[in-house]
Amino acid sequence: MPRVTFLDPRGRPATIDAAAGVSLMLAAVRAQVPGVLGECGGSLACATCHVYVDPAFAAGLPPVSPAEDEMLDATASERRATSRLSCQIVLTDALDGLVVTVPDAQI
Amino acid sequence: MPDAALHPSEGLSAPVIDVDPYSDAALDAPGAMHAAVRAAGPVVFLSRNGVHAMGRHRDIMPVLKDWETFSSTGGSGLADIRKPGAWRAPSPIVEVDPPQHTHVRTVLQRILSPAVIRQWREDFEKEAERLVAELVEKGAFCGVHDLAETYVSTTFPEALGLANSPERRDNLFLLGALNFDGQGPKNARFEETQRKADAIWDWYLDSMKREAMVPGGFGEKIFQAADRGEIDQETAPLLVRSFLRGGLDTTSSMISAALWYLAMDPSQWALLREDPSRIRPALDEAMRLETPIQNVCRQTTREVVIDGVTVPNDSKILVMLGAANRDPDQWERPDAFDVTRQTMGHLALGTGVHMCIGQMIARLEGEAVLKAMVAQVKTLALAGSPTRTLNNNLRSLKTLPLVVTAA
Ligand code: HEM
Ligand code: FES
Repeated sequence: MPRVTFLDPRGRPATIDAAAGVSLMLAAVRAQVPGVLGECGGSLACATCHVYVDPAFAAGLPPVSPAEDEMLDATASERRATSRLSCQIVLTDALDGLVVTVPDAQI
Repeated sequence: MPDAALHPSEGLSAPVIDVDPYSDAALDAPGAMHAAVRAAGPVVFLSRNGVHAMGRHRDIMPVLKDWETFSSTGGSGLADIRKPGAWRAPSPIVEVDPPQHTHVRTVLQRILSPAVIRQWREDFEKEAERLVAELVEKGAFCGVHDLAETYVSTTFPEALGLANSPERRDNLFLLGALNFDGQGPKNARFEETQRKADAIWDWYLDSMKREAMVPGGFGEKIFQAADRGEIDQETAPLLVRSFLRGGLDTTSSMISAALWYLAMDPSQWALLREDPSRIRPALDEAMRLETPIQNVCRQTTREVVIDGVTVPNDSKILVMLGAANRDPDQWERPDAFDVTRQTMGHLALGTGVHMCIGQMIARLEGEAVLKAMVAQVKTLALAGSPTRTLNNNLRSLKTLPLVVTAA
């Protein structure tokens, strides 16, 4: 059961226990983490699941696909080097302790 | 799920049932028909229409995600468009499978990117504020004709870049009706719509041409993508056609359904006024309950066993999104409108590779209308019973008498 901490835009944490095998977006939506919308359910059509991933975890993440890369150019809050779409990150036990920051706006 | 090829005799054949999804009664109130389909099995065979059908949420989800077994190339309606007699060219987006689909979808997704759509927000909101102010002034109005349809038929064609004309609005709704009636059987309802549409056929053919596109809209961008060689020249007008036919009625059905449910339940309206961040979830909830596109179709590419029932190769399956969206095994109080509900997993926009690519536009339009309503309206109530338009695949209200007081 990977544990994930979401920091809101002001840095306040909310930690959830997520199931391995589901996407980070789905885990956040199920736990009603404010600011992660996931409106398209993970079909790379909305960019409303944008998060900034703590660089310490960058190496453990799946690579950014060309489709995610294009969608990351369309996020409501600025794209940074640490930007990812959380629907494209499948949680594994190796990601236990993951820390991500939710952006100011998703739409 | 067992691999059908390895266990050829594993499943039972689908139970045959005698419901008619296209009768006036079922189109008006499909609940009982949906319950019969869900109860009979994971897959049923509709004797009247000669197709398989599915209504259970948990079985539909994996079907829509498995495009290799459940192909879209048989066409979005009941007829198999690859067969003699029913043959027609497929839509280059919704009636193709990967890898062709992936290619066209990528190009289109770039044109309809959330960043592009966000640029329309200001225009869309201004138009909603203006229209709602005018209606609040009147006090009583029709939520379908005066609000949802007027709004959508102003904003959407502008975003597409379709030149305005006195007949634009009526013609676009007629094309939508034809598109969705055409996805059902060739019944009297379809014939009647086809006859009306024949009268505007020249207008329709002209409207998908490059010359009909006003600069700045996304229609023009589709033709520019063809100029750059990203899609075929012949594909561009067909993509414009799919927007002309599929983007209006659906969105206006969602908006009028949201207004209807909110007008019926003052406590839900109060929740929305308290916290406008509930507007987008409210739209999802309205989409779940109304399911503007009731069914999508898939065609099996091999014999397959679904939850113990065998479906032969090359079978058309009517996937009943509306049934899944009220499946009591998936949703608590499935018929209740609740803006605080977790709506993820509703299937009104489909799921998998074909999931609606226009959803961000639809959501923006819906959000603009409800935001203007929340800002300008204090009380919202029904002033009479709403009526429905009956269409073979598009579920929508025809009239919605509303009465409001100003905030
Ligand atoms: C609330 C309004 C809407 C609803 C309920 C809706 C519903 C759907 C559904 C169920 C599908 C999946 C079809 C399938 O799986 O076979 C779909 C796909 C599609 N929709 Fe929408 N739609 C809406 C608004 C729009 C708008 C506004 C546009 C145009 C901008 C649009 C354009 C499309 C297109 C082009 C596809 C095909 C995508 C693909 O095959 O990859 N839709 N829609
Ligand atoms: S949920 Fe839509 S892009 Fe991630």
